Amino acid sequence: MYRRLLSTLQSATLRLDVWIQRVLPQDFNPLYYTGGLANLFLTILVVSGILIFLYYEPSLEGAYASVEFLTRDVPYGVVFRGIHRYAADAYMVAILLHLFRNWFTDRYREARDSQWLSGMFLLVVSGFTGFTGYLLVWDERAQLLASLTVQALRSVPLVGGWLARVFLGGPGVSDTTLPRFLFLHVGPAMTLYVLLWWHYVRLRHPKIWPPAVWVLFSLGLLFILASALPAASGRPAQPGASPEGFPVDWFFLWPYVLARWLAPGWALALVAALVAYGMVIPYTVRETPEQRGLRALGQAVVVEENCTGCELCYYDCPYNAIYMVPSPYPGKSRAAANRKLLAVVVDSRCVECGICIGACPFEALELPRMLDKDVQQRIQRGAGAAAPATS
Amino acid sequence: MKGQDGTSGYLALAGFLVVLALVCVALMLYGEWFDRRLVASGALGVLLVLYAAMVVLFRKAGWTAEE
Repeated sequence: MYRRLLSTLQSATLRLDVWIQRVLPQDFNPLYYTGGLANLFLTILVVSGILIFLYYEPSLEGAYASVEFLTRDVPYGVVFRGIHRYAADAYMVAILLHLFRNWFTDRYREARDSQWLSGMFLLVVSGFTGFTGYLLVWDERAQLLASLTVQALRSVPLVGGWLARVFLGGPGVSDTTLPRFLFLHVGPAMTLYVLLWWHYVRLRHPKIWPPAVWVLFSLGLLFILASALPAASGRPAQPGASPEGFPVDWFFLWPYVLARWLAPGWALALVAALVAYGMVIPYTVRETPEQRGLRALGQAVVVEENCTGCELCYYDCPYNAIYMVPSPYPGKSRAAANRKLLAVVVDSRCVECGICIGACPFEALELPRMLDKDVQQRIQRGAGAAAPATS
Repeated sequence: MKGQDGTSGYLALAGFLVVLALVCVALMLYGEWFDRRLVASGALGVLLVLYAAMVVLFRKAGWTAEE
């Protein structure tokens, strides 16, 4: 059932590519750049965030007023605030598209688990950073969100009280609360770049930036949204008040919608369970590649006597699965007689894609279960099956 | 001939977008001059989207190559 669902979603994803490419040139397909688009929106968030930070005052008395001053009195302040707000939503959309596309097209298994795991951490930290951004305005919505969060944290066994104190910067809302919220917004935002390094470190040619056409379009869309639907605060937070509702931003505040039906502690537990499931997805696949009907060609193997140390495979491998080491002895072929380096395949990173085979002009790499004789056998079997029966 | 017809269609559309882009520039100046800053920033947004559309049209018309 699960496999059939994933297979259907994979077909739908690939069909969507075909439809998009009927309208746009192939290299403009935005679904090829969901990661790059997320990076673009993150950059916009950082730049607009720095501008907003210049005017922000992290105190109970000053936070709301400083945001209102930025919105009403600073030239184009409302636009920068709107861009920060809508770029955050666009960032989450790009991340989720990236996640689902890689999930549905099987790009999370075996050697790609490192990208999947780092991506899940990026999703969680991004969601938390976005949520704390709503607290900084310190309006009625922020007050209610803080109250629900404290209730949820206090329900955590053993460490709940401590977590709530860490969140508020003290036993209750006080002068230290807004600086703490600011730290909880900026600190995780900075760790996103560490996580991005982890996300990219095993990729040789990550598409970290979208084509210019999508940079222009995305920036334009953000300006239009920020101008047509300016970001606005609710009423200022009042000490002792208990607001009952708030406008929902589904990308960041969906767990709080659950609080309508569940106790905050259970909503937190549900979020934690979803995150835990997301983390183990790459390890839930029990079938071998053969059972899944996928390629089972074996990890690439270097034919040492043919390797010239030219590094073409090293540069072409998208998964950093090939390293160049000092050559222990010269190769036997004429081309390899004077080599100084030798290619070595890191088995745990090889996904058997065969790109290195295509990159090597010296037949110095092969997939052990895809040799010439295997190809010839397959052709013969195919030809035999296709041959008309003779009577 | 078919390709040429398609090309001229794309370029005609790009020309129309250039006119719209000029209108956006005028709106940006108006917004800045008369303190209607949301108009100015909205016009800037539309201008950027128009530029993006022009890049696509130029590619489809064969004027630009893959990046």
